[in-house]
Amino acid sequence: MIICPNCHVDNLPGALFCSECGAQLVTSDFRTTQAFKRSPSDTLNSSVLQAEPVAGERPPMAGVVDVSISLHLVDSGQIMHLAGRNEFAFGRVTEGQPILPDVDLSPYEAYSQGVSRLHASLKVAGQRVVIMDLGSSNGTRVNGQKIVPHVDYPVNHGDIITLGKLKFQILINR
Amino acid sequence: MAGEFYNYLGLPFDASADEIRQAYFDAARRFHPDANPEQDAREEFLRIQQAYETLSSPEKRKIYDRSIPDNLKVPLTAAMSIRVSRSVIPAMQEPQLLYTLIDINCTGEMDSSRMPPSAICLVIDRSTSMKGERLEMVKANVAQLIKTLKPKDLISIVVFSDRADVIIPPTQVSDLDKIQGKINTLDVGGATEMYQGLEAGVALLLRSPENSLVRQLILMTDGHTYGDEEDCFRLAKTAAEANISMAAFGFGSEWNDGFLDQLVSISGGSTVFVTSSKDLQNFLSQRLHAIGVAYASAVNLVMTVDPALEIRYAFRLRPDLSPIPIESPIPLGSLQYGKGISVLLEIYVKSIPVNTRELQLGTGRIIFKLPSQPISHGRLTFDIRRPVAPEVEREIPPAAIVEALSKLTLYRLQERARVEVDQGEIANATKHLHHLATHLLARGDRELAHTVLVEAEHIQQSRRFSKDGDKRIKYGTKALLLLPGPGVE
Repeated sequence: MIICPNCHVDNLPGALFCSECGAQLVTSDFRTTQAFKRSPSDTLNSSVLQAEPVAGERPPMAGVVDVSISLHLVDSGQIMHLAGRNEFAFGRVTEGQPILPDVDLSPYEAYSQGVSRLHASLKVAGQRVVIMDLGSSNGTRVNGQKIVPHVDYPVNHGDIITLGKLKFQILINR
Repeated sequence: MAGEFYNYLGLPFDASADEIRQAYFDAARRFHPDANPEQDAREEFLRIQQAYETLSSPEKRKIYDRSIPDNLKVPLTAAMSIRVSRSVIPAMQEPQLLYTLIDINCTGEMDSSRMPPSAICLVIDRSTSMKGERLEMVKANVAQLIKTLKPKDLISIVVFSDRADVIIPPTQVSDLDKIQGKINTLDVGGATEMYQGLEAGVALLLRSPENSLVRQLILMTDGHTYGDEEDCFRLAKTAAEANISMAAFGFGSEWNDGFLDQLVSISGGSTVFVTSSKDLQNFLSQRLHAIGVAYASAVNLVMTVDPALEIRYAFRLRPDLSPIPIESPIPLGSLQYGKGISVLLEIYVKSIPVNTRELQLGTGRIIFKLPSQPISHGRLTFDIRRPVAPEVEREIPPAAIVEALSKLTLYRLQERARVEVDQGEIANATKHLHHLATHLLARGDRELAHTVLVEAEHIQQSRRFSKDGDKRIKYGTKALLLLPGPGVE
């Protein structure tokens, strides 16, 4: 069974779109489906729509290329580069915390924006980039759509990821 | 006439012995005097017998084939390609879904000098409700657009209310001057009885040469017909057997789209929703253009699937958009030069037995008529198999399938809401319409999204679709599939 990340309805294996809400259930790297990646949100967030990514070049399909990932913090306009590992846990560092996140978001007002200490993790597996919510208090959204905790959710270049209220755009450079 | 034995049995000249036997049994069953007492059937049966006698014997067939001039043995210029959502199928005992995209394309160059003329009959509703703007727009556009047909094409016009009148008997388009005046005299009055009009139209088309490129009846109506639906279906079946296809144009919000969809699907046709003169102009010019560039007509998909599989849904993406009935054969309409036919199938796999190495998703053939050729039947065969493995890697399905499904999913959401309204599940219907509206907004299709939301509200209050919103949503979501052309790499 495939659980739809949007409405949590079970779909048969092999389904490409959720039969209940129409959300896309498979990753696809094709530019042609770009428009559809703005999947349903509980409430349509118009600022997300305006932040439509500028279409980049079509990513190369074959060969193992190092994927470099940057985060564009929407509110402050800052860009943060991620490098050196295949998995990045996002959160904020506080005193006496046993496990520290790889990426500390405290400098970006993480606390007031509702980011948990261990909020979400971003993983790079080959050509795929996935995000998983680590059971955060305020949840993680991809393009305004809330994702299910502890389930990998594919992200693409230009997607807007929101941790609590902290919003950033993911830039994937293949 | 050379090659007629093949035509009697509906076979191409390179048919295999098995195909000949199968075609003979199928034809004999239909025309055997015990099954079909009509005089025509008897003659047909004798012809089939004679053809089979020759073609079933290798020696006689060889001699017969030699008597056919080589220039009549024209190789097919059509090809098909098949894409499946998975290249390797996971060996699961639980149910799963697979998607198959079948494309049929015409590979040849169009040679209009060799194409026979077409026969087109417009069957126009002149019931009282067509009065005013609607009839005026029909007059203006019909007169204008039939000029775009080829000079030798035969056009006829039937008007109907509770009775039918042939206002223009089959006339060559080159004699158009005579037509113009008569179209302008069209007047309204009476009720809508479609069978009357359809019957008159089919009768006219039956008189056109059998090797016409396309024989098509175009119905233009704005209303419901009452009580003669079954007769209409029966007529459409007879017409389809005589290679006559039907298309329907619905005006305004009162017409019965469900009925007309079913009616025209019998011959692989489609319905369109006309809200303005501009719509009519677009749809009619497209329709007439399509007739002129036909390569094959009466295309049918004959497919058998393993009993462990079930085709859950079938939709034609090209040339006309329409859900298609799941039956065998599936009528697909005509194959055009440069456009092709695409069909998307959703296949439900109940369970794959342990140790299965390969799954056969379907075998069958595409059969069609080639009106421009003396040996006038063609077929393409296919056998879709995919390997089965216990462990499969995650893969990205073919772009064309994802692309088509991304839009088809929206069409199906409204289809689903429609069924739910019928069953009184208002809450579910509204929920699905809201999902649909969200997707439409995300696509930037504000107008349609708004229509959907208004409709959802209407359903909550009155527990049914409004007549206008209903069609706007159905045809609006269907139109999403138009651009960019699906099936294109």
